[in-house]
Amino acid sequence: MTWQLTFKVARYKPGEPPRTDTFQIELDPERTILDGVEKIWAEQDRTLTFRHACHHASCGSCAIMANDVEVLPCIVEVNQVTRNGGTIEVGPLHNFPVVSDLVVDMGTFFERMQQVGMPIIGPTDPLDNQPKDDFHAYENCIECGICLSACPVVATDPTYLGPAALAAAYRQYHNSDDSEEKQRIMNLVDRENGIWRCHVAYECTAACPSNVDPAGKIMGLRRQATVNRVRKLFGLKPA
Amino acid sequence: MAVSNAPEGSRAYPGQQPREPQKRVLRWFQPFNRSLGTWSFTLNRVTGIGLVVYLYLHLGVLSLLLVGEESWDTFLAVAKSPPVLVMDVVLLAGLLIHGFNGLRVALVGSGFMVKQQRQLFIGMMVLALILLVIGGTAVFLK
Ligand code: HEM
Ligand code: SF4
Repeated sequence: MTWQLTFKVARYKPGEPPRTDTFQIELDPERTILDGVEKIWAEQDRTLTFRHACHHASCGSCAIMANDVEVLPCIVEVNQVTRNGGTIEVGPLHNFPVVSDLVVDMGTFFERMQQVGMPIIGPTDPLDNQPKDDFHAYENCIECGICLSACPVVATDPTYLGPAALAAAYRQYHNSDDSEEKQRIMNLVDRENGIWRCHVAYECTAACPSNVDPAGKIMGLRRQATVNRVRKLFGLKPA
Repeated sequence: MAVSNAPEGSRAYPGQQPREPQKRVLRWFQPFNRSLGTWSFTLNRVTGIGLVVYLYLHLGVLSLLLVGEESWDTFLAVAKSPPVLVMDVVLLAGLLIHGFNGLRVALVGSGFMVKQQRQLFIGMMVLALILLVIGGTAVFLK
């Protein structure tokens, strides 16, 4: 049986005031929110802009808000967020500039990931000699930006490095054998708008669709930064 | 906003364009639909700001001492009235919530009990509630 659904879609085109459009569609309850958005685009409004690629939670490009929470719409079934006859409100991620409709500008976000030294495209390097348990989670980051949208601190501090970049920094720090590289990363994160800006709300960890636990990584970096500072006090090299 | 603080070579997140920047501050006070963590964040912020407001009130009231014995005695009479006693309990609640949650933030923030931060928050709030009941009772029994 198909469900009757109302999609309320946040619309925005540069130079025009934002508005909300309402669409009625029929959809199997097991279909995903992205299926719904695609159906609207295919059958009702070709000007609707949204982003997606893989359809199975590995590319991280489709992240949006659905009924006020961040989701990867490609893996969330409509029955998880509403019922037959119900409404799904979709909109762009928070805390990013909106390019058009559901598409946000990820530019700054990717720049920060790169700054940390995380290759955005490229092979995953093996973690030689490292306890893998600490890192395997980071490898899961799909750079979807959901953690930044969920973070109450990113909301009001545009200079905050943000959870994903800090999680990447944690991984790079521990994966590197090069003391200069370690120092470079520490300098990047051990600052006011780095690890110390976090207010421990743990929303990033709660929202991350990929179990990266960015908040846990931020706390790990804080601990490392503290250890390094104490060691410095005694004239020791950073651990 | 302090964009100058941004790491070299990066642009700032300008925030969501259709939404005015002022509205983003509201995000601090919207724990609904969110996980427990935002409750702790919001509670800490609200109580922290509340405590600062109280501190100034408190200093203001104390300055009555400079005015003289009579004005202080009038104040004491007001302070013992039930509505003010209720306010005292609210203050105690704020202090307990902020203090115990602050302990959690400090612990987790320095890398301790990171994996149990959720349970830690619940535990701290239970402790705060127990002390609030004891303290609240004492306020009214005195
Ligand atoms: C009872 C002992 C207290 C403890 C253990 C404590 C602990 C803390 C901690 C750890 C934070 C940082 C929270 C974060 O990073 O999000 C904080 C924030 C704050 N505290 Fe306290 N605090 C205490 C008492 C007070 C008092 C008496 C006042 C006011 C006079 C106060 C006002 C504030 C304010 C305004 C903030 C900032 C709130 C925010 O950033 O959201 N605190 N406190
Ligand atoms: S840490 Fe998680 S939420 Fe943040 S960008 Fe990576 S996968 Fe997305």
